[in-house]
Amino acid sequence: MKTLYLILFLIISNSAVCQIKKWEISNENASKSNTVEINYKSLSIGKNIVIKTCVSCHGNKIDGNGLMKSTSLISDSFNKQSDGMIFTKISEGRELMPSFKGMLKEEEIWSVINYLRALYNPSLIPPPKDVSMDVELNEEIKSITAFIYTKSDTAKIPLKDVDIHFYVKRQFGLMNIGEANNLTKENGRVTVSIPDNIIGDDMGNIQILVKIENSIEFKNTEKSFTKPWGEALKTDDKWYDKNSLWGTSAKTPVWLLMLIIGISSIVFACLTYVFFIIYKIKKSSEIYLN
Amino acid sequence: MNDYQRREFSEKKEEFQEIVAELTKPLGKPSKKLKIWIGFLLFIIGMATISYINQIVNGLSVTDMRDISSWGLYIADFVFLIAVSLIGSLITAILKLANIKWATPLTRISEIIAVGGLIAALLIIVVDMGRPDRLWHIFIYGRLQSPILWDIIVVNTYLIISILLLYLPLIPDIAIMRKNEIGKSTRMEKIYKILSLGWQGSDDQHKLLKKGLAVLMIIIIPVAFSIHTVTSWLFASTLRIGWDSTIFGPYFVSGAFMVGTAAVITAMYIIRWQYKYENYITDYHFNMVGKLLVLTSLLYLYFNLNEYLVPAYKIKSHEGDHLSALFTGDFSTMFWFVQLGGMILPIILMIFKFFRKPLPIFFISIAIILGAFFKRFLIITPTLLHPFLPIQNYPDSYRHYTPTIAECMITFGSIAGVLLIITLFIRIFPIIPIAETAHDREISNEIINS
Repeated sequence: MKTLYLILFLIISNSAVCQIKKWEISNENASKSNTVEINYKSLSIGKNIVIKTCVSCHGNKIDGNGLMKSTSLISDSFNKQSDGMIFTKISEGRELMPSFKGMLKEEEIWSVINYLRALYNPSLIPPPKDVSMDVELNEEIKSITAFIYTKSDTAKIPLKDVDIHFYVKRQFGLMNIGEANNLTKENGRVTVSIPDNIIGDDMGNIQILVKIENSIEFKNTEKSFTKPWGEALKTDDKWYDKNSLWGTSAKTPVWLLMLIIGISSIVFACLTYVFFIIYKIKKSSEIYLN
Repeated sequence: MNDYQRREFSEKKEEFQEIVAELTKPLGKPSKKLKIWIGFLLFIIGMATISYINQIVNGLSVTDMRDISSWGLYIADFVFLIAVSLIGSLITAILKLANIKWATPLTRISEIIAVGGLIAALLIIVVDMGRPDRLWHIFIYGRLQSPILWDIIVVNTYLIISILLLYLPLIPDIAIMRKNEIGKSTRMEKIYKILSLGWQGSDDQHKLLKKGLAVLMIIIIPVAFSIHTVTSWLFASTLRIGWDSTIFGPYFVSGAFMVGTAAVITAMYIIRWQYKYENYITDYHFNMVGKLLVLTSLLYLYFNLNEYLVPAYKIKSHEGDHLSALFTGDFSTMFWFVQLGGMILPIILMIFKFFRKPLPIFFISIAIILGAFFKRFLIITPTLLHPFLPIQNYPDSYRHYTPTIAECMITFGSIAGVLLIITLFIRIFPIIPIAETAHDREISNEIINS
């Protein structure tokens, strides 16, 4: 019983619910007004920040079910608050909610608020635009250039500052190439080069993807192609053929096998002998009984 | 035979009859108290079974074991039970081989503790498995390179040897019981008949039995050492803070002897108190086994100094987090309870003769057992919570491990299972060896066999 009480005590003492402090927001702060208007730019800034800093705790759907139980940012009660209140909460923080005033600029916090408002009320988001993407490859230096434009009747109008993602497909996911953000230049182009030492299939083929994704301004667009730009995959079988500690059950090292079989047979020989003795005792009693 | 011899013979015979009567007393009708006790144990085991069914239905998520802390109370319980079971080898083999007479009434107690502990340990390992239906895979696909497989081999071997070592000295006792018509016309009669092997007590048979026991007593010592050494290798063969230690084998073995001795003292006390065995388990026995407990505890203290002081002196960066969690951090309360209350204080107290008297040493033993249980927890959980790679992007709850009610219930169930096995054994067989006690009191074979 002592153990029971001790363990119960440990459970209770460990799971004691923490008291959360109340928010303290002055009227002045609460009535602060948003200085950034809702447009493509502020929404994408906001979105990037939310993905980078908010979803880990508030959840991928920012409904409060992230790594810890937290406020749902798409709930009615959250969105009833004034912009100023949300701004203060983000910048000041409270216990588990960190303070962001050192990390984010004011405009960035407002952009986050714009994005959260847009998620709650999608009609605030302007519809995404159609764009076209051409991919130009340079076989010699293994580089890819994405060219982003909109079509007018007569010509292609290049688009500036479109964020392009370049990936190489790997076994379990996509590997990013280039910078974190590859923005198109004046001529609508951005170029990245493929590193030399990427392992491809046994022919050295790698699959490269060029994407516009998760953009608020533009629709998702994707191009993919396969090029022998990687290194050929060489499987090194020599370890698998060896009897080794990391081998399969059929590849037990001989010394280990001998050791285990040796020890076990000595022990079981002794046990067999004991069983034989039991049998002999039984036999000898029968002689007496007869 | 002259008159004097005849008188002595009949006196000895009377003495023997008395011994048989007393030592088979627990085999009579169960008292009300005993029924309540068995009912209580069955209730706990029932609760554990319900928890386990719930765990099978809902998976291991009913426990608090997660990615980081993937071993918890079950494994602590497993190591604890294995540790307790090691006492069988110490008392029945090491002490017997050393010709220590006072160990006689303790042999069977220690051996049944070993058997009970091992059975519960094997069950708790299955409980710890997420997919118990795949248990057989270990026999088909098991890799001999893995210490887990060594553990399975060695634990099962030890169980077989322990059962044999429990059974062999029982043969003459069962024969005595049959001759004295104990258990006649009960359900047990047939079982007694089969188990007694028709023992006649002839010199040949005694020789055979002695030979068999000698083989078992010698072979059980390396097997016993290896069962706990291999169990410690489950930890020590991995590169983890707090486990990456070369002295884990002897550290575990010495700890096991300590908790096992304490378990035997607890059982001795309860059996003596329940069945009024003051003539068989005397204060002298408690004194001697108390000294044994001091010895094993000192040995364990020595290994603890090595295990904690040496890394603490160097405090390598990762090791530092782990040690400070033990010494001053999250686990410090438990750590100091275990180290002070479960080891150092008992040693100091037991140096004085007064504390080696039955009642004081009984309470000290309980403290040691509790300490030993939590010690196993402290060996496992803090290490798992301090991996080399920082814990990132995990839910907050993964950073802590607090056993859930279900885990506690099942763990209590396993302990209750051990106690039930011991209780039922005492109901079926004499817990203090009759024949050996008679031999120690110089009662001749002639009387014993008559």
